[in-house]
Amino acid sequence: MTCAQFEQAVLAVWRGEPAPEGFERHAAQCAACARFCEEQEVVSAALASLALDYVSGPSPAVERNVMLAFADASRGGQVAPSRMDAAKRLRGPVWKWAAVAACLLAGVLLFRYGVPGPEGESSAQAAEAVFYALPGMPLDIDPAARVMRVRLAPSELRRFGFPVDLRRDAVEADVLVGRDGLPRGVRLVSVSE
Amino acid sequence: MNAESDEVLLAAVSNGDARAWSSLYSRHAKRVYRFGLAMCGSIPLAEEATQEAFLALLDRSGRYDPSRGPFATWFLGVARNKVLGLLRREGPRITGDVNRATSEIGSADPAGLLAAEMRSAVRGAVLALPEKYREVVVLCELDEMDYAAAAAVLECPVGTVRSRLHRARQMLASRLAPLRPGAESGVQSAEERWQR
Repeated sequence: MTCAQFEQAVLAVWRGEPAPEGFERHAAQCAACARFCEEQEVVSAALASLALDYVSGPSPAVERNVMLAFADASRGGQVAPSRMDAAKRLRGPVWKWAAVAACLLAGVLLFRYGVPGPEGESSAQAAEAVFYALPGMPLDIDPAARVMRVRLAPSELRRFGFPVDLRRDAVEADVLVGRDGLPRGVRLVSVSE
Repeated sequence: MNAESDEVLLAAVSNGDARAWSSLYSRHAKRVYRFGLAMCGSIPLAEEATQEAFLALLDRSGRYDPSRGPFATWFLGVARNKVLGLLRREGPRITGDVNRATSEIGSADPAGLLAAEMRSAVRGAVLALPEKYREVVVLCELDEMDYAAAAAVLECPVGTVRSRLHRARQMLASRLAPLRPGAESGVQSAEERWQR
């Protein structure tokens, strides 16, 4: 048996597979493979020490969301907003990064695909009444704010916490853009089949 | 209680049985979550992967073919795809989340803190492995799955699992060398730090 064959075999043998012919003899005679076994025993012990890390399960919020999703699917309807809110809370620690991504995405889409929205929708009062604020972007809109209509992938909107059915193809949304050109809020308009 | 097979539960789920859905969740969520946590090192990502895997199951339950292996293996494969998708979307995120998942934080016991320090080093070494090596370590070592089942999850030959595990363990051995008894750094120096 060569050293390469021994190294390949030793892990399987430790896992309870039968030792191939010449295995024991090689183990007794080869100093390099004895050292390899010592190193691998350290690795085994180190990995075993991680057992404590993986005894817990997901938080109850995950189960609640999954059960709500089942209820949604059973009714044949869209994903419930309450589940999406819970999903947002799950992602709290990474939320600020999602906010940056949301702003960048919306900004890019506005420049590439934006079309004017409905008339009269640019006032601060109307905006506050119907738009969801983008994370980290307060809805303190001045009268110069504009509404732009865009089409977004459901998965992107879902990441921002909107109640969108992932099985849909695309979603039309109005994006409220401040005087500085940055998106401040989003509202869903329609869902394409 | 809960004696029905996964296949029976799955059939009941397709008929709108919420109790069967709950049973499937109870039976498989923890394993999926642990796989995600070990792969991502992040509790929010692991929870999102778990949630996404069950959402996918709602859509894809009809795609499971019992003749190709146990449901648990197939579903872990679904979860793996979700985890890999999240990792590609979010990029590697090695955080202290898993540290918070363990309970020795706050302990004044030096031995407990030393063990935590060692585990943190091991965890970092696992998370630093390239994905294709990390997943075989997670499945075969942390989940103690046999090679054939791991190969089914990873959709690759058993020989590939063996060779990747061998390579992964070599990488870990080199990264964990300072933890070996008698090494100049690592365990001994950590012990010395506590004794000072």
